[in-house]
Amino acid sequence: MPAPCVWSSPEGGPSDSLRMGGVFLSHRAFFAACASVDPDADGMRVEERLLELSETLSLSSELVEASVTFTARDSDSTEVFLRSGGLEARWPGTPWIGVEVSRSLSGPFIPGMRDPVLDRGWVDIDSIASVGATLGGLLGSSLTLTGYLLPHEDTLAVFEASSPWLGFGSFGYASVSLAGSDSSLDMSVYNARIDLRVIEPWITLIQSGKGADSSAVMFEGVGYTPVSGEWGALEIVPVFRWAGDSLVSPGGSVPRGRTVLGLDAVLRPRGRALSGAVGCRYDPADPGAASGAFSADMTSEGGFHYSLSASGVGSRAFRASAASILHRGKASMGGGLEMMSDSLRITGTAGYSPTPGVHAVLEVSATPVIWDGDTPEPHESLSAVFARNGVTAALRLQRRDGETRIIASACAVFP
Amino acid sequence: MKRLFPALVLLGLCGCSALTPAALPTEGTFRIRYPGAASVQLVGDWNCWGGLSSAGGMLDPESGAMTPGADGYWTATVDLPRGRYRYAFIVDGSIWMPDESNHVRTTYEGREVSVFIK
Repeated sequence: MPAPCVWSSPEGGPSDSLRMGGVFLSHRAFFAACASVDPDADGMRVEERLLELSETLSLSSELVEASVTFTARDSDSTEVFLRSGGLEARWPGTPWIGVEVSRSLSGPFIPGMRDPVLDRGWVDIDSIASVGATLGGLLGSSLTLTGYLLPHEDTLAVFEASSPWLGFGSFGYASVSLAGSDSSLDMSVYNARIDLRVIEPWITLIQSGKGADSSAVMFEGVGYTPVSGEWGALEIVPVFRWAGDSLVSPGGSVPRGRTVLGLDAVLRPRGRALSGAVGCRYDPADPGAASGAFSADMTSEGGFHYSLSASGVGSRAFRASAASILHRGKASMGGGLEMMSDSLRITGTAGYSPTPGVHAVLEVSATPVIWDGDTPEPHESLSAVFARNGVTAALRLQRRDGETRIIASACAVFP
Repeated sequence: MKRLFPALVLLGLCGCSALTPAALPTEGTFRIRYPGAASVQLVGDWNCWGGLSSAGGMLDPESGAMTPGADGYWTATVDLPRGRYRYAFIVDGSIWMPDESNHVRTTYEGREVSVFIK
């Protein structure tokens, strides 16, 4: 079971550090400014604006890592506040032991199949405080117990245990206990990944109460490539999902009361010329909800890139799109169309990059009169972006549904 | 504020932190062809989506920054433990794109993203 976020800071690491013995001190500042303007209003009224300056101070040593971020913000009101802070200590060796205390720094995350069982977005990270302890290093295994204080004085306890890669597979377990003002929950999640050489079955079991109705099973078999060559491989992925009617899943990532049988065929290229996938899903209890999807990308030697996709759910919904773009020198030009169950939209784009780090894009889209029957509503946007040496600035002019807006933004990271 | 700047959110200080066990690090190199872009970032479950799922909820322009090549490809290499990760590319700080060479897809915040298995 992977750690929630491997990078504890932007990948560049501390950009400016001071070494004092075995202790590194560093800081990082970020400035952001955004404004949205209505040019049609009297005096080009500023509708919304944001000014923000954040400063992060970090300390790291062999035993301890700590960081604190203060933010000054001016928007509807002016405020200075502690955005996040955390302290992490680890006693090295085998096994190693760690403890962590944080505020607005880390949220619960439990991986699942294609979607996490518990995603960070489930609760607002701005209002989470946590304390945790970890024991690890025994042949690569780890045990983690974390307590979270959520909004409304709800509490969440998450215990995770993960095995190392054992040569033939890996296993994980997570227990989630929520004590809330409105509800409570006890959920167990079991993960297994087994390498059978020909195929790797991944299985996730979820149990949120007693009885089968409170359980869910998710399965995917990845890595089965019956056809392969120098061009790449064709992977066949069987999919099975079942969830009981009474399953309680905090993030809602597992739809309850559904049985889904599926099969995907994925074209994995060694080069970049052609890639794609086709898949289908079928619910025996609801054949009308059977769905299928197809997508493909192609790049020609002439520099054209094509994207095609189509998907449908029974006779209820349908979507198809086709797009192409040509990059040549400093310029690019492309177009596409998107057809949905009851609408068609055509899009054209043109881009120009006079120098590295500067890019301007014009995009126009509209629904044809012959399809819509009503007056077409073209959407236009013109954007120019500058990004270099930690400074990013963007200016966007967009017109949609008869309303024009100018959005300007800039940010800088320093030192 | 998310409603105000859906396409131009810039950064909060990404602070996703966790005690990171010494699990089997493996390498993954990601590429996308986009000549002329001012910037391209690789964001995913492992870096708090470039800061979007961190406190403040703004995109860090340095998070997942990819390196441009003369052939128009942008490249980034990350070390990740074995597992599944959702990821996408953000071009010019606002245009979300799934990996054109990886059609195992799902969604993140309503956007189509790719799934990386290591």
